[in-house]
Amino acid sequence: MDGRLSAALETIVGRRHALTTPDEIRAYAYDGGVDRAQPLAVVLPGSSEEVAAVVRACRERDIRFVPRGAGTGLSGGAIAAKDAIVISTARLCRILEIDAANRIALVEPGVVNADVSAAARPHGLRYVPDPSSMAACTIGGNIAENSGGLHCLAYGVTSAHVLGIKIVTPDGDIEWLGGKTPDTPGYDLVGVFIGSEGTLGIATQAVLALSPIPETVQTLLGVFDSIDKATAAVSAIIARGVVPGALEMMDALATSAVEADVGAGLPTDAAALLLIDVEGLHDGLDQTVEAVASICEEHGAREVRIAHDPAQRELLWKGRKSAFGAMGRISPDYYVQDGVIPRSQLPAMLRDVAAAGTKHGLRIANVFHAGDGNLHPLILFDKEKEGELDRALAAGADILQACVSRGGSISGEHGIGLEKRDCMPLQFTPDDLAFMERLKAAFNPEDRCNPGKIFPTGRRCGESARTAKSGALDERTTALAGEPF
Amino acid sequence: MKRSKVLRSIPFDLSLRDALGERLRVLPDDCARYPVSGVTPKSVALPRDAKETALALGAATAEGATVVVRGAGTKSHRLPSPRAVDVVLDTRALDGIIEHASEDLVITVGGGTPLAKLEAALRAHGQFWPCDAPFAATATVGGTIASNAHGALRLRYGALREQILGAQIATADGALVRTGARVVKSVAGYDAHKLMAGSFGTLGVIVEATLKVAPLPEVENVVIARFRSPVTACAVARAVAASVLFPLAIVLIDDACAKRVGALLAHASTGSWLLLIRCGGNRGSVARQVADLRNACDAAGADAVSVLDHAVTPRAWSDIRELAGGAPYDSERYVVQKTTSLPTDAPAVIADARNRWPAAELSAQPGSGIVYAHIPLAALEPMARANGEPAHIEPLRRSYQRAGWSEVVLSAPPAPASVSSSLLHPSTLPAYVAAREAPTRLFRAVKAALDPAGTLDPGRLPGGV
Repeated sequence: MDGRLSAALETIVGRRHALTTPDEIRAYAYDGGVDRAQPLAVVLPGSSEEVAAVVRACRERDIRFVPRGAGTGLSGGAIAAKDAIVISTARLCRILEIDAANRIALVEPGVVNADVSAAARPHGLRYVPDPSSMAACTIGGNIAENSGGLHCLAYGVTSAHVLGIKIVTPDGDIEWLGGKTPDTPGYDLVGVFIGSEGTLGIATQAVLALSPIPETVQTLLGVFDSIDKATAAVSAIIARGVVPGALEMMDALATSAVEADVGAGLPTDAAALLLIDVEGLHDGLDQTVEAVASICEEHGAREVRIAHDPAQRELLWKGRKSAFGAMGRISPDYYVQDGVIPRSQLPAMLRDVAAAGTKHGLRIANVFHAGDGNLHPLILFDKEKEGELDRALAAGADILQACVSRGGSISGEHGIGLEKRDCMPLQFTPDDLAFMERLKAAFNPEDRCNPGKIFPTGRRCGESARTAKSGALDERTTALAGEPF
Repeated sequence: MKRSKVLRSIPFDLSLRDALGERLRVLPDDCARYPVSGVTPKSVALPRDAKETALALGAATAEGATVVVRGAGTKSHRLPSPRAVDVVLDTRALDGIIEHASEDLVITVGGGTPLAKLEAALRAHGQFWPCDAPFAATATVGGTIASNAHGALRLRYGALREQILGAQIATADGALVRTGARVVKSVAGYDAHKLMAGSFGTLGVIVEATLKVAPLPEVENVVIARFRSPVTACAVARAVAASVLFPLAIVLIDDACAKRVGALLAHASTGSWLLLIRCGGNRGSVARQVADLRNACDAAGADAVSVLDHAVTPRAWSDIRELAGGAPYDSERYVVQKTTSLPTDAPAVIADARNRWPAAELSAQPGSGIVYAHIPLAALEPMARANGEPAHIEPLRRSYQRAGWSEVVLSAPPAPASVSSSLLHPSTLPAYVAAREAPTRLFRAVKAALDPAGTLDPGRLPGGV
């Protein structure tokens, strides 16, 4: 790397916080997805002003930069494509304010998701979005990806819980989008910044909305002998106007992995399980629990269990949250997809997923946000076996194509990043993409901030990047089982 | 003969006529029905579908004409007066339910679809679009989104932009683009449909919107508590908003507002405030909410607490909804100012508005920090004369900046001939005062990127965008 750039970066953030040796930066080549690329350097600024100074130093030298939180993303969003430096938010990790009377929190982007709710809990409040990686992932990354989570079904994804964002623009200016009060005048840039995958700027502070913690939660486990019956029950629950706090599904393969890993006491002989949270006031909750249980039974549930104490409930959810990591018990590698379909299409879509596995000769486990119609097929493969990674990517592409054909989306919460950028044309026309590129250019005209993400490069969806001659990536390997997602 | 004269006076007319045929109106009588903050447009475009809308925009851009997009016109006096308007584009023919995936709680409608039509279609399936937008009888879905006109349900359901899952947008250069998807969750590409919320038709025309809908609660009640002090009422509102009761909406209105709602007449009392808390859920949940709210209001010293039951709530709320969303009772005779602040500042905003405009009628969403002042024009006129231009605004503008509030004119009639002072004209009321410097450079960049020729109603948004 240019010695003058590293000197400039060291001047801004201090020598300790500018990492330039291969040993220091190796870990930053990874996220939770399948792409890999080594950054030129890694800087860890300690304030908005330092972030802005780093961005300006990069601009002066025409160096590109990639914002990065905890690196738990699944689509390569925090990977430094195209010879960029990584700007880590790891030191911007303070909760600046919990204003309980106004139900807001002011936080820095490196704050871990779960820590916000922990800080709000004494006031009877919580930060609702709860991705499975909530113990590790950060608010900045959640804003970039518009992360979902288990409880977004009833309360909305990240964008529904962010009022304002302080950003450093790709030009190095500091601006506030939105604020602590609702409906700030002018364009609502908060809504478009969230989910922009770090391509429109770097969040350096955020005003988060806090919500009351429900008085009671009841957790149900629906046990089904067929996937069709379980998915039909999900569709029926939504169609009847019951909106549970969370509504998740696991198939037999996923359940067997979870049981081998954490032993949550789940029935491994069932074809599919539904894990359902019903929450609210004590009063009337039994009625909702009863309604959900009877819909499950009407749709052929062999058994509906109700967790009666917090320990039982914790155990059931521990099983669900550890599902991705548990795949290591049954497969050397996996590749997770993230398509969304209308919930009424779930039964047919799960048959499409199974067909993609059969076609490519790979096992696929399913553990996903059924209530949102947000699939997470885990395509199991062994990267040591010739051609298996390519078959896994091809199976993933088939699944995304099926999602779009059924009126859905190629990503519900993991983002497009590097991984799915060449799948964007499945869902969007060239005009649609050109419109989005213009919007990007308003913030990031020279593609300096998180370059190479989201927009297609002209390859086929699912084509392995390492086979392409000119690519952002020097290497494409496989997901590491065991990461906490 | 008269017609050809008009044609010659409008250079862009021919290419627009190519795009629209008879659906371009240039006769003065037609144009006079489409005033924009007091300015009569030179022509009116009435596209019948998405394609015609895009063609019209492309033609206007090619000719350098300016276009103001309009639905039912309920908010068309909201922004400062334009210098001139070449074309008003009326979206009302983009009307219809395109797809209602009722079992999936998703609906796709044309941008010109009346809210009333949307709501009737949803109600037939026990559903609703939880925005509680004002002007419910006439406003369109596209206009509601474009003006970010939402009501008190945001407390439970979130901002209006979160109720939009995707859109088809006609762009200034005449393309038709889609963003988002017809499913409840999608992070593919930028959420440009969310950017449409509050953009007032300056970035594109919403020809189609996909909306997230919710099941109607099984039971709904409104708890009505009368307080002498708005400070106490606001404190109760904040406590309730942070509680496990999780109500759908909280509205605070003064006695004058209360007297405008039939169902509240019996509860209004001069000098008092009514706190209205809308509860929803199943029978057991609502019974508990009502009981706890009664106790909380009694404990806080409410003069009286009563409850509207499920049978009367929908009709009563249809009136409350208008007040809570800042709709004027009479858009010809009232200016509506909206101030947003932290919820804890709402009492100060209320006191300030009362002091500033003694004749104003006040409504608020105290749990969200939103206060509306419905100011009679007749009261503004003598104030303007007494104070001179804009003397009564400037000192407040400064204090507003200090307090971190933002203020917008939500509705202002074109100045009637009888009112001489330009102070009453919307263009001279403070367009906005924000706590922080607004990111106007980014606003301008976004506008320049999506509408580089400045076709779509340029110059009327904050920052001169």
